Amino acid sequence: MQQPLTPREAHKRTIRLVNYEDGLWDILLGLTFLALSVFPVTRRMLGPEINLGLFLAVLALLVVGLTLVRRSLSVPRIGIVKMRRTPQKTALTISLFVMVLITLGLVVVTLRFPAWLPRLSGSKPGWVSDLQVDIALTVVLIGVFSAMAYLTGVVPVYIYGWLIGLGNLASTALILYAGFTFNLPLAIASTVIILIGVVLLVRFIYRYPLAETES
Amino acid sequence: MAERKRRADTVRPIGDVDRVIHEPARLMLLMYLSSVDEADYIFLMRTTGLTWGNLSSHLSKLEEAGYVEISKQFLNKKPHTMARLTKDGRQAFKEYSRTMRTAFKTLDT
Repeated sequence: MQQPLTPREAHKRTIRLVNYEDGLWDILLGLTFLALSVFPVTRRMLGPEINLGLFLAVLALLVVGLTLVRRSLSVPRIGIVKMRRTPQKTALTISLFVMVLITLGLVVVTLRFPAWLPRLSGSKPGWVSDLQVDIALTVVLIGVFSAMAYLTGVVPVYIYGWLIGLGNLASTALILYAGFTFNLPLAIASTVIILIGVVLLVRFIYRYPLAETES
Repeated sequence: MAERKRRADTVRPIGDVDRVIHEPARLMLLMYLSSVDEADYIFLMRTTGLTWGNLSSHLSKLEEAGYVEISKQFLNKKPHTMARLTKDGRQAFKEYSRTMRTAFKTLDT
């Protein structure tokens, strides 16, 4: 059943339509974590500093690329909207920005200081000491993504938190115990997110064909 | 008897409701415009499901009432129209919501 249209619902629909319905955000997120999943390989080849620089360059390229795609693909289909600035909305924007920074910070720490991650204490069962940072990282990732999903009202973001969190944990476990050199579960999780984004993008293009121009 | 009179008194303002806003398409337009600073015709067409002609006619009525401000400009050499709710429009929409809420609350009890 369709949700009755109230001013609050209209506002939520506007945010969803302008920011999330085209699937580009999902594709950006998936590509970012897919890039991250191959970085243990490049870290060994390039060293942590260059590897981190490469990751940030790839991230900047993805952001610029998808912004251009959004401008040429989404805007002509859904039009131009300027959102109202209210204290609540400013607070929401700041909260989302802080959450993105936390996630990015965790990623940077993971890339720059990989030796930090496992074995911080020897007084616990082996797998707990081996994976304790990754378990904490998983909890933080799920928490941050759930908060973002709650604040924006975009349901798939809950699933993305679990996919990325558990994908990262499983990747570390496989690297430590099965001799994997590549974050396979994280790569699978990222691919699932990209595929969801592609499905959303195709649906968006069909649902919103290019609008007639004004006469 | 007294209760019936009280209800009649409370529901009476519904007769004075702003008819410019009361039309479903215009109400929908005001709802979307109240949630943004300004939006163009394409966005309003997408969200409300109205055709160009209908959208244009309803926005003209809202503009005549002083509730909406329309600005026309050229974007990439093509005409481009933006609409925004005026202060009066925002106030009238709030007033309309309050009147309808009160009336429905009374009918519910």
